[in-house]
Amino acid sequence: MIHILQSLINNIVVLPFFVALVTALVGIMWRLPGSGRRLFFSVSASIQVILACFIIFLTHKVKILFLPVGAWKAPFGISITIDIFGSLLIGITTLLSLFAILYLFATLKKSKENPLLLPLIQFMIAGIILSFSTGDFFNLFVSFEIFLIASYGLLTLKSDESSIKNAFPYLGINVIGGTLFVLGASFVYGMYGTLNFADISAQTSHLAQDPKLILIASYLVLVFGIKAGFFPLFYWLPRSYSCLPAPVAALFAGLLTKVGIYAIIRTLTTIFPLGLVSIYSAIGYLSIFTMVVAIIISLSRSNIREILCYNLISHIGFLMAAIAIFSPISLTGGIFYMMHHMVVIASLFLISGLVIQITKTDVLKDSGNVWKHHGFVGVLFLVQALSLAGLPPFSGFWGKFLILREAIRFDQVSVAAAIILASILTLLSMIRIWFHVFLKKNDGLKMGSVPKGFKRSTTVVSILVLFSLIMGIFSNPFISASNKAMSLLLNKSRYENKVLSYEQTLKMETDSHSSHSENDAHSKDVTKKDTNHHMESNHDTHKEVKHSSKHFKLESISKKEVSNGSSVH
Amino acid sequence: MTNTKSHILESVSRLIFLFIIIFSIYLFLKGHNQPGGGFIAGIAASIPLFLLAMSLGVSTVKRVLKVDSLTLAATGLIFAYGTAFVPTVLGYPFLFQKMIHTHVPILGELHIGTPVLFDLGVFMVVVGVSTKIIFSFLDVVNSKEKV
Repeated sequence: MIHILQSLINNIVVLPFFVALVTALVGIMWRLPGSGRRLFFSVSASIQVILACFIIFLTHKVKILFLPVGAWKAPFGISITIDIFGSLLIGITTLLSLFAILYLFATLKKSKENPLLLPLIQFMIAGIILSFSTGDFFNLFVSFEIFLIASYGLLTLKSDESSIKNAFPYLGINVIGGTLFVLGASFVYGMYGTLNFADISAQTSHLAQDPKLILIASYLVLVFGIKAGFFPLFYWLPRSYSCLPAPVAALFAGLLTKVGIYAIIRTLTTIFPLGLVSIYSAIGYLSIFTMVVAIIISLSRSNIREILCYNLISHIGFLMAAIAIFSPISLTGGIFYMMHHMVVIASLFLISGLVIQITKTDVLKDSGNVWKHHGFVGVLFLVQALSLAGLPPFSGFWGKFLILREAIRFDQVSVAAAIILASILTLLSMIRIWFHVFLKKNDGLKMGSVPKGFKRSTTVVSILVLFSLIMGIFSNPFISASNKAMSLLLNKSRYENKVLSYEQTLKMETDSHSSHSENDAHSKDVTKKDTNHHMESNHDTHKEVKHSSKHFKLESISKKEVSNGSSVH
Repeated sequence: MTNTKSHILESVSRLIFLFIIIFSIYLFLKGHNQPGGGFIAGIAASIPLFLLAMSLGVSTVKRVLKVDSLTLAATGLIFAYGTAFVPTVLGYPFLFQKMIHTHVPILGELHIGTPVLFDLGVFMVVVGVSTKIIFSFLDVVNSKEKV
């Protein structure tokens, strides 16, 4: 029993991902929606939250968790790597999925539940978790595809004409994005002979001025920018998000665009050398346009969810600004802002769902009266809206403050001006919703009886809002966690050492595996002409002993001092 | 499509059914170190099913198959998950594979191992999902033609 537990802890990095996959599978087998199935899904989502918390705890102790999948050594096999940054995002992801599922249970009748809804959500969560924990480009592509395919399914679940029409641009842009991504991965493989983040990082450490490297890095940033919703490429987002049911829209808004931002941060810090100034300044210009243009469009929209969608895009611009400034403090602010924004935008979408439950309409003009009849929902909205606009003491303030301060410190006047302008306009767009939906008296609107499940869904949302409040008022642990995540991102050699010179302590098979892996190493050797792989194969016959026939050390790595950071394994 | 029955299509698809299935088994076993494996074999195995569904009708093929497409895919996922997860319980890393290299008297060298089970899972998932997609399209086409 203890052996099994120990072994599970050794494999902890894949567990949240795997639990989500298994849940999805059980959901597919367990066809009929019902109470038992719902209980199972909520228990599983809670287990994922607990696992994610455990991973956050572990990463704070040992910094980087690493698992060579199938015991293949790092540059050759798939490496699952979670550092503090990834673990924090996994934590928020699982938390949001739990709340979205609970909200869904409160509002959706069992008879109207599509049997594929919950499995698809779990597949999407699994894909997102995998993309936060993967350590090589191809696996990142695979995880993008997992959550994208699930999201196509979620968008067209109603399979009526309007949802298919709205899903089509989303599908088109993401298929193109996926193709470009896989092409980019093949370019990377062609140039460096590897897809592993740590290996690319080790090989390109002295190439910061290389035009080819700048080209490939900016190409990848562009590809991830399509996912994140950069300035010219965001038109698809509001159309598709605003036709979803509230909890699913909350998950989409909270998580999907952030995966793009995560991938950009990973590309510019962990993978490629620091100091690609031209890319940073390009992102800076794009961020100005993203922030300002999107928020101006949001002022012209006339329904709640589209306003929220454009606010979401505008705030992607803030994250881009944090990347563009690229100082340690701005990155800390960016990471904190990312966590804050995932929670806040998701809860705003859930609150918009509550409002729509009450007023039965999404359009500002037809809405009204909510403050008078349901003041509590108004309070929830107010807290999150002010947090989104970035007023102290709410959580949005701290991230924005750090980013803005760094923008001023580095004389990025236009970025700073855009941040201030976009924040004011965010406040304005929130005030528009506040006035039209909450304060305005609308006698034509019939306030029917409170819909079933309204209380439960309000409770779920208020817990999420409480979490967001805690992030704002007791922001210290969150900011220090982001700071740790940032310093680990910028300390590239630590990541490289952890992945490339990982000492295998899990027990391994000697006879059956060694000849096989030698073949593999030889074939890789042919492809990678620029680096000489030294293969040390000493054939141990012991089974349980730490076995080194699979240790092909890169020459360049073995020269470096091996980090003495203790490992979990 | 069912009312305009084509005898040529029907007899040809009955004839080549066996050959394509045998070819897909060949592809399946050839996989892992050489081109082949569960995914390609699954695609190859579902092609004769599409042909039969087009010539004999979807309902006939569904009746002959006896297994629902989604159930098949889900069973395949169980196989794939199992081969991924069982090693972690036994103390190995996730997705650990064990290969056996033996010499079988008549057939020659034999490499076989747990990846075969994983590939079997992939095979079932591919057959299940692709038949599900094509059968739903054929159902839509047939129902429109009846109207």
